Amino acid sequence: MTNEPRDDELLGRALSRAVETQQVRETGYERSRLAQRISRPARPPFGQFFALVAALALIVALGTWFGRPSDVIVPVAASPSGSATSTAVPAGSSAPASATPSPAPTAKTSPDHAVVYFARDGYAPVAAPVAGAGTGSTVAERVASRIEKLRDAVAPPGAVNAYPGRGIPVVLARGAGDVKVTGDLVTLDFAVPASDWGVKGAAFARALIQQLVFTATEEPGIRRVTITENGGKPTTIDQIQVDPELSRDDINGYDARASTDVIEDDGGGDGVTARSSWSVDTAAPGVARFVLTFSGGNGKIPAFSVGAKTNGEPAFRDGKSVLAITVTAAGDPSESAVIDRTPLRQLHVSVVPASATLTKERMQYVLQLDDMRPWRVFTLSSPARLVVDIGGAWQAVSDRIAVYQPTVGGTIAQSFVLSGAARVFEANVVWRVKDSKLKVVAEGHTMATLGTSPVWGTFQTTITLPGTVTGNVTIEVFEVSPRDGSEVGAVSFAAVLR
Amino acid sequence: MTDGWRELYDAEYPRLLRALLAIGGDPDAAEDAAQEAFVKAHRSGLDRLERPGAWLLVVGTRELLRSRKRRRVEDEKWAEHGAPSAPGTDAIADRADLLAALRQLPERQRTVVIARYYYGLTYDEIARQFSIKSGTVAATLHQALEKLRQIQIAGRLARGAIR
Repeated sequence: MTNEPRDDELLGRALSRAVETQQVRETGYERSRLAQRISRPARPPFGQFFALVAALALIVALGTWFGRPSDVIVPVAASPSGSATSTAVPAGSSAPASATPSPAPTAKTSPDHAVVYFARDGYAPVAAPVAGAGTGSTVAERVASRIEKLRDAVAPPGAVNAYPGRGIPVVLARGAGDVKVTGDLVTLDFAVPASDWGVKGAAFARALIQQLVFTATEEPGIRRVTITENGGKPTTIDQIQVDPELSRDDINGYDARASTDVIEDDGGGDGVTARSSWSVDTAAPGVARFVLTFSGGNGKIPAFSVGAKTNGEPAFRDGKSVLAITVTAAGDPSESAVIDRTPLRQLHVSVVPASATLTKERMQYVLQLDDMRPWRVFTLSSPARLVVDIGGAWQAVSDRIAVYQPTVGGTIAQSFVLSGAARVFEANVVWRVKDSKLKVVAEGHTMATLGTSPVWGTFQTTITLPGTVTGNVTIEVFEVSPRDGSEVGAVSFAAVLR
Repeated sequence: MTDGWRELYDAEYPRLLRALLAIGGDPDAAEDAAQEAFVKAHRSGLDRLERPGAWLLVVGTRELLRSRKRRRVEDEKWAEHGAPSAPGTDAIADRADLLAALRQLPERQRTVVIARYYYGLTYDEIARQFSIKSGTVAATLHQALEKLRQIQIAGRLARGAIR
């Protein structure tokens, strides 16, 4: 105690000696995992050069996006020189919707806003039409009308309505100030007796918050929602504190944010004609797919660029976000359509005429979407196609991986196909299957059709599990970071082996 | 390139293995964590490791402490065997006692003690490598040693080491 630093030093030295003289069995270099890894690399070696190339490609893409925004998103209605296209786009598609509530959806010229939203397990909320939802002469009245219709609405198959039913008196507080509109923000004040929403469980609480936010923001021009109780107090729904302000993008359920990069490629196909088509839930559950099929150009893809932005309003007032696909090709503006299948609301097709800055005429396809959710672009051949996929199951989608097969929670056989899209370094998609005790029972990697590129690649491989594996398994798919070898962009979900 | 890795392995593996054994007390877990640390180093690339020794210690320790459950069982084993035996124990027994005492410290303190006295890292290096505030390294070390000293046998051994 007389000389503590010295005592510390002595004690430290004694410790060091104790550590050094422990009985150990050393593994020689030859038998080390490191040596095995070096002599038989499981994965392609990662070079910083390639990371640099990828970064440069991204910078170039971003620069192009910011450098000539008018090429990428040209709102048809807002374009004063769009004479070639204005006749071809359905007249009502860009008409202000503020004056009247949506008409009966028989002859659709604009998206149907007489909808409320229902929650889904593992997927973003889904819109379904409800008669009388969205009536009223002011924004506040129309928002209130949708919320009130939500209360008694019956969920479509595969979805739930977490709104407390008739028996529980949670309603919009009646009287002035129950629905307040300030710019793009709507405040909903609910009368919640004893601060109890009557919702049980975190899953239902989250579902209800999703439903309220999506339903309230269905009104064009409204993007954010504040939910309060009993005269403007912050509220908690079964222990889940409701954030002061929420938008659809905050709570659609995806961990990964939608990319705002522009994805583009020079393609190489000239004299190409494009034909568009779309589907929802066909490619994979929860996936909306937009496809351009090309003819001519010797089977090559024409130059294209794809970018997404939030807030297409007011130019595209029926979508909370827009995804614009521009291709150097001929096309048919009459392919414009009202879709109204979550998350696709409407498709605008237009010709971007050649101009001083644009040497060739292009086609632009603008998808108006319910929200910003992860999306991806890849190309297919024979015939040449450009595919834009939006969404998917929450657990099967990250910023760089999207698994389409098997489905989340679905059944698999001993031998099953793993497929999807990926945007990973050197196209190397790594996968792993764990049994119910989280022991790894199979692992490997497969190559996507494209890698180290802003454009995604697709992958498909067949995995055969050992015969001893039964029941629940966890499937993990990820990228190995070229920077530090860590697993990044992982998706992980359960499936059942039958 | 391969030669660089062999050199690194030969230079760093022996003390990494011992450090991890001292921290965790489980030879298998120590070996596993040490091997894994080198694999991780390879993934990172040799030229990215500024201080390979310290880097390996940090990564190896993290690997080791991941299997907490196993370690706790080991701690209990050590606690059984680590009680001070009769007076007049020889140096080997004393050292075993000191290591047992070490393992009664919180994880963070254990690691910092090893980094300081076995690896000879400076306070600043420890702060940087283990992401600790530099001001708390000295305090952590002092606390750790004080606790060791309180475990009687450790103090006795420390005095013995002067001879």
